Amino acid sequence: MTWDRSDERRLVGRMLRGDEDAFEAFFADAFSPLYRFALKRTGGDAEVTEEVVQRTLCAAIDHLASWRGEASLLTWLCAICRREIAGYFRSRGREPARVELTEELPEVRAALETLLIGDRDPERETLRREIVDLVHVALDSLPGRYGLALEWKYLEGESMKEIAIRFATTPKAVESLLSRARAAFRDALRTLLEGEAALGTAGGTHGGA
Amino acid sequence: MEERESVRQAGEGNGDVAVRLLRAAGKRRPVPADRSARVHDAVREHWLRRTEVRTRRRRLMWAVPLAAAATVVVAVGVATFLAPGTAAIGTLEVAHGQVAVTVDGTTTQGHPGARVVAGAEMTTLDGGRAAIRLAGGESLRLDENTELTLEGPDSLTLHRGAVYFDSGVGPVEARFSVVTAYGEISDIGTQFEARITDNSLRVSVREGVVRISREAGATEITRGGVAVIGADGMLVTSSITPSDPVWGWVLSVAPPFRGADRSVAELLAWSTRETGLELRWDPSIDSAKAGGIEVHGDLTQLRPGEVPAAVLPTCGLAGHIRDGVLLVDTLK
Repeated sequence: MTWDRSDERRLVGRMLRGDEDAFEAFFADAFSPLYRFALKRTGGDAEVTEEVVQRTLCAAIDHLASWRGEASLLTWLCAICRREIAGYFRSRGREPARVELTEELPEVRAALETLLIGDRDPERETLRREIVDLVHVALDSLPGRYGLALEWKYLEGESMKEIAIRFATTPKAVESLLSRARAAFRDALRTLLEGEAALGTAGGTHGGA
Repeated sequence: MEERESVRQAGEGNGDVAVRLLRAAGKRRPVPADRSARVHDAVREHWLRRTEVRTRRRRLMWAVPLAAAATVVVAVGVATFLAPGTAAIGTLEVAHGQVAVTVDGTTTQGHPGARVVAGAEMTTLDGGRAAIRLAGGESLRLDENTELTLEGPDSLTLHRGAVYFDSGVGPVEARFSVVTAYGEISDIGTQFEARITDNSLRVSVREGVVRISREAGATEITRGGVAVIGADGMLVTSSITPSDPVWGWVLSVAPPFRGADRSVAELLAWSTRETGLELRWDPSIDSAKAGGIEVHGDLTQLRPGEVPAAVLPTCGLAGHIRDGVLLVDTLK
């Protein structure tokens, strides 16, 4: 059960041909990560987030044929979403919420450690939440069902067999999937910490809306 | 640097740290179901509309045997979800003369309004012609002495005669493809005819671009072009105008104009699309204003070629046809 850029290209091709199953798979995979991405950049305004996400997905459908696969679908969607958010706020004479994840502050390193060891020092709470967001961003950036598999296994405690049933595959395949998912998750975390582009965030040390 | 080392260690094979991070962070925040449902429904509606417009993708598959070009397989791709065999793939809009439809061994005379199902065999005799409106809105027309089998929502086998396909008015991304035994013919937003004559296949393009991809390479046939592929695989090109009398049979089975109380612009667009004429407005006329004049009444009996003489004068306009151009001027 692999999921790579070629799978995304096939999915897009099926959508362009009017395959409803493909549309449903696209929406199921894209909506939640996109919503969370937008929610952070709208200052947590759920109404505005719903509106811009809807606009983003409609704009993406309008230009689906132009997606060439150089970036992941989600990365592409997030780029569209940024423009929609910027446009929304610009039309109202406002600035979108700034989203910053910086790796250079010493506190981030400390926050990461405190997250790992469970230190609930109130002074580091804000940064701790940022790291939590970073972990969730990394999960959202994973292809296909990787993020779900990791959550089901390590947060919900489901067995390989139970996950296999949910994915309509074999436990062996799930084991292989989880191995790849963990590796992809580690890579995504490393990339985020090193400030490289992931989910379309700005380059450098922070992600700006 | 400790936390980076932790992550690096994870990257170097110690997966436990990444999993610990995951557990420490907890689950991602779910999206409220009502918001998800609202956005889903709106986006799906948008996608369905765009798909209907964009996905007029057809494939006409032509299999021309080298020994004898007696049978050509034509595949017309239609974005439907109907099961083959019994599903309707369109409606017979026009039936002139003898048009026989055979389904499951039973033959009947085709009549306008009849549903056309997958697996149906259609035959037109001398003087018989037909037009089918496919599920996606495309127009498929049969010339006289034509025999074909509608295999399913996306294919038909042309045994003899000729078919004309009009993908309709749509955005540039509307696609129509013809796959032949010699390769694939693809186009964008096209009107074209495919005809089997004397062990050859002739493809005439009235609008759009047709690409014929063969082992020998790809050839593009644009508006006004004709390609003839012989049994020996040789391709010869020539030209034809969109209003050439050769297209006359297509006009004779043009489906009636739909609806009433339409604008002059809509009627002229329909008329020129069917007749192949190029529409031009005299510079002295405000084309937007003149085109917006509404024509009332039942227009279903109106033939495409009658619009200049029958409709324009009632709007204070006149149409002059010359060299493939319909020039609209003020009625004097």
